[in-house]
Amino acid sequence: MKRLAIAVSALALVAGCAQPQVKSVGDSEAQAPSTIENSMREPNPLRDAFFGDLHVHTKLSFDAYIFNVRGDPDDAYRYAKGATLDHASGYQVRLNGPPLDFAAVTDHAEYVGVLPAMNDPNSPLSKIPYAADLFSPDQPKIQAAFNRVTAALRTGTPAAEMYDRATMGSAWKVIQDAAARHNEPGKFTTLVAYEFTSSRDGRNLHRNIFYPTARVPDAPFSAFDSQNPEKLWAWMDAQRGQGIESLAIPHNSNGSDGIMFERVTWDGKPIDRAWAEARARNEPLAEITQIKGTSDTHPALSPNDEWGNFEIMDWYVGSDTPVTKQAGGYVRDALKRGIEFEATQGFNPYKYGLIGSTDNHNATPGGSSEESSYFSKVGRNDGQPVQRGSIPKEGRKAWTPADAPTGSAVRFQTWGASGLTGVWAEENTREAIYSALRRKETFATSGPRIRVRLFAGFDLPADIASRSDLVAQAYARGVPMGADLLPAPGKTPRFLVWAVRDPNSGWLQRAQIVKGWVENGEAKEEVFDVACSDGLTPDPRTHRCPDNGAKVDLSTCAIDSKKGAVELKATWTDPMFNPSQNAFYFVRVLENPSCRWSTWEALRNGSPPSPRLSPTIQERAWSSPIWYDPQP
Amino acid sequence: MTPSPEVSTSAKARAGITAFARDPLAHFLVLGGLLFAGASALDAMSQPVVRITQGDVEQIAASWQAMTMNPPSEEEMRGLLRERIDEEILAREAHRLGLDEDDVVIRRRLAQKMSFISDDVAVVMPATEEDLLAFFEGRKDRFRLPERYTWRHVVFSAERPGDSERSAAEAALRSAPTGEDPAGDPSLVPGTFSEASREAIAGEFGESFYQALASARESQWTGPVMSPFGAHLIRLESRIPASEPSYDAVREQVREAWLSEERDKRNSEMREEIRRRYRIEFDAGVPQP
Repeated sequence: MKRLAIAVSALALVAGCAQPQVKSVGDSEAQAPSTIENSMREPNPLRDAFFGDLHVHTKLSFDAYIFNVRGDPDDAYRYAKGATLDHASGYQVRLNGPPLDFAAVTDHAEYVGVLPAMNDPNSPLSKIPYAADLFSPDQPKIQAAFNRVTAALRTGTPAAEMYDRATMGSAWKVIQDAAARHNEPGKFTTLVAYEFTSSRDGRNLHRNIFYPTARVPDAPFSAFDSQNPEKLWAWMDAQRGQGIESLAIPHNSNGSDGIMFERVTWDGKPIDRAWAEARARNEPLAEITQIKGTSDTHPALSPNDEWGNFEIMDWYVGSDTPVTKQAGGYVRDALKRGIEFEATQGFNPYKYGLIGSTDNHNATPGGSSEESSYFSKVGRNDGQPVQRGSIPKEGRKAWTPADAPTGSAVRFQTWGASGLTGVWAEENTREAIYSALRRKETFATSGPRIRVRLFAGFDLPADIASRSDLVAQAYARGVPMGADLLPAPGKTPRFLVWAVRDPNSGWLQRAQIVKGWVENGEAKEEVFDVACSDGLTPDPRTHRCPDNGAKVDLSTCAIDSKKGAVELKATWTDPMFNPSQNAFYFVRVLENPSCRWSTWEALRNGSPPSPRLSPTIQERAWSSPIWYDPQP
Repeated sequence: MTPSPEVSTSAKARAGITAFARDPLAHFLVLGGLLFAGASALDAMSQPVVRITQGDVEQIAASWQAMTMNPPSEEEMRGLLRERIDEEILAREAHRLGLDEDDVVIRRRLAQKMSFISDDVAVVMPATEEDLLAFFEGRKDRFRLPERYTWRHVVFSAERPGDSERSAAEAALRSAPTGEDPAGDPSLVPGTFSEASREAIAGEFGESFYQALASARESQWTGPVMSPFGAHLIRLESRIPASEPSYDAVREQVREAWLSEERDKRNSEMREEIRRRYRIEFDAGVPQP
């Protein structure tokens, strides 16, 4: 008892400067364990595909902590390497497939680490009046208190009592230390990163910021420093001037209500060259798919794209406000605006390579990107099927009018089990993976580990697809995804498209090229099927593969293993190529239809799939574009 | 003690003084009165105090501002202070009356506070090198590295017509000149894997593929082994057996594990110490936890 008394008085002494628990006393440059140096295989100059998740939150994020998520950055990296983790709703989760090759924890910079401190009775932050409500068992109280927290994010003005720099500083250190501990060159790559959580009147302008080394700023630039992304780029430029390189990746442009990729600056002025270059220099990539929907395109923007209606999320982020403006909020549209700028003014602010990630708030990189083992994304708020509207309420096995989703489930039901980032890199190290991100040799998938390559060149051999050295030829005589194709007078470019399925997912149905081009100052788009499964060939008039007849059995979710391809490979020339027009080309690979997560959950529940949701989806991968500029 | 109305004041005073001097009951009553007044004065000095500090005012103002985006007006501030004082007084009175004793929310919060206190105590002194070494020696199996495989392969694509990938693989294996690698189809799957774990191999190529690789003879092309990608010829370069790494190689992990174990130990010691001060009794038929 004496010991306790001493302990308590010692505690009283330190209570004034209590900080969130730091897991390790190790320094941030901790040596990665064992045998690393001698286990590195030779770098592959022709590059291999590595898969990872570049958007993951842990309990250090203000929202994740409220969602009852208690996994920290160490747990997140362990999960990515195959470990089992406790979900906030009381079950265990684990990756379905092999471990990921890389991951980055991207906690919200705003109030990072503050919520855990508010729940620590020894921290002065726990004395904030609404702290008790935040962690009470009373859901309405939690919501009311949480609304105060999120109000600060909408306005960009932090609540003084929560804006504790010491607490946020230690959390930033926790993030760096965990990344240092889990980075194992040759086996597993981590990147120090964070999320800049800006919005304008609730319209989403979020970005994740990534660092190639352990050398990072003392503190992140957050939306509390400025909601204006232009200020973020200026800060990144200044950091770069001091030798701290970084890149930013915007996400959930679908929830921006048209303002993520505007034609004007923050102040409403016309975009000029300096603005375009600052944006392109700092934002080489865009996140095209994640759990909160896919931002490739929208049926309103691409009415002629039969596959453009994929996991559409038409809401503001974290709110019930519906999106009213799709233009300016989708990546394909941004790519089109970009080449319009290029054609008319000679600069392109929107020259985006593509990635996908989960944005999981469960400290589970890659988790919940698989349809059959979906657990959505916001902890105990959507941890059960009934909370996300996939099964009827109160244990019913049939849908009645009373089972129409209400509250947040209205939005949660529209979320998708997505996505992952693929990169083509020489080896699995920070340097090689970051370089791949920088040169946009990246691709996005809706979850499956589909590998996809794209090359273009005026001198690619006609028979390249059937050659054994095709990749060496393609690099030697062409350019890979993410690059520029320079003009070659009098010649037509040839494209090499190549994809292989994920053995843990479905078979491939078709590979397509999505082309955007500028005609009389206005961007257009068209989708060309370039490789079909099952020995079929695209109709030269419609540019479509015939139906391969693949079906899904909705009573079991079984798919037809006799239909579809393990691999698709084709060369393609653009039948409409016009050497005087700016253009971009990216690949979209589609799997055969398979059960959506909501159908898997209904099946396990013994109820029919929700009548409000598509029972099936077509999983897919998107390559980064190749750009053609007649006047580079 | 009410003076008789018909007695004049001065007369009463005189008579009173005389009477007082003689009356023991009056002595008693006056002394009692003085005592009572003194006790009341003492009582006033020990009356519980609710003090509102400048810090409280700032905190109240800041949280109002966080909620409403505006600083409180003077009137709002007065209202907020009244609320704060009422909350404090009512909470103390409830505590005095024992209302907190059967409140499950309060009980849990107190237990949580106590466990935070004991957890915090468990932030232990830094480990010495000897501590860590002894810890490592005693738990070598925890730092064991699983078996790993360095291997190469070529694949004959499942896209070949019919099942011809298998026969193509067999033919390539037969016809490969001694000492040279057989030629497979170009593939998007990496050709070389270094120190890959079972999870990584089985997770991508399937369990039966992993089994075939794990039991293959080293430095020799063999196959075909089937996977969802097609027919593979495989060459196991080396099998890195499960191993116990050197202390130096895993020192950081050891330190982390030591710290976490030490913290757990201190925590449970603390709980045990508290537990010993209580006797836990069970009604008949209640299962013992």
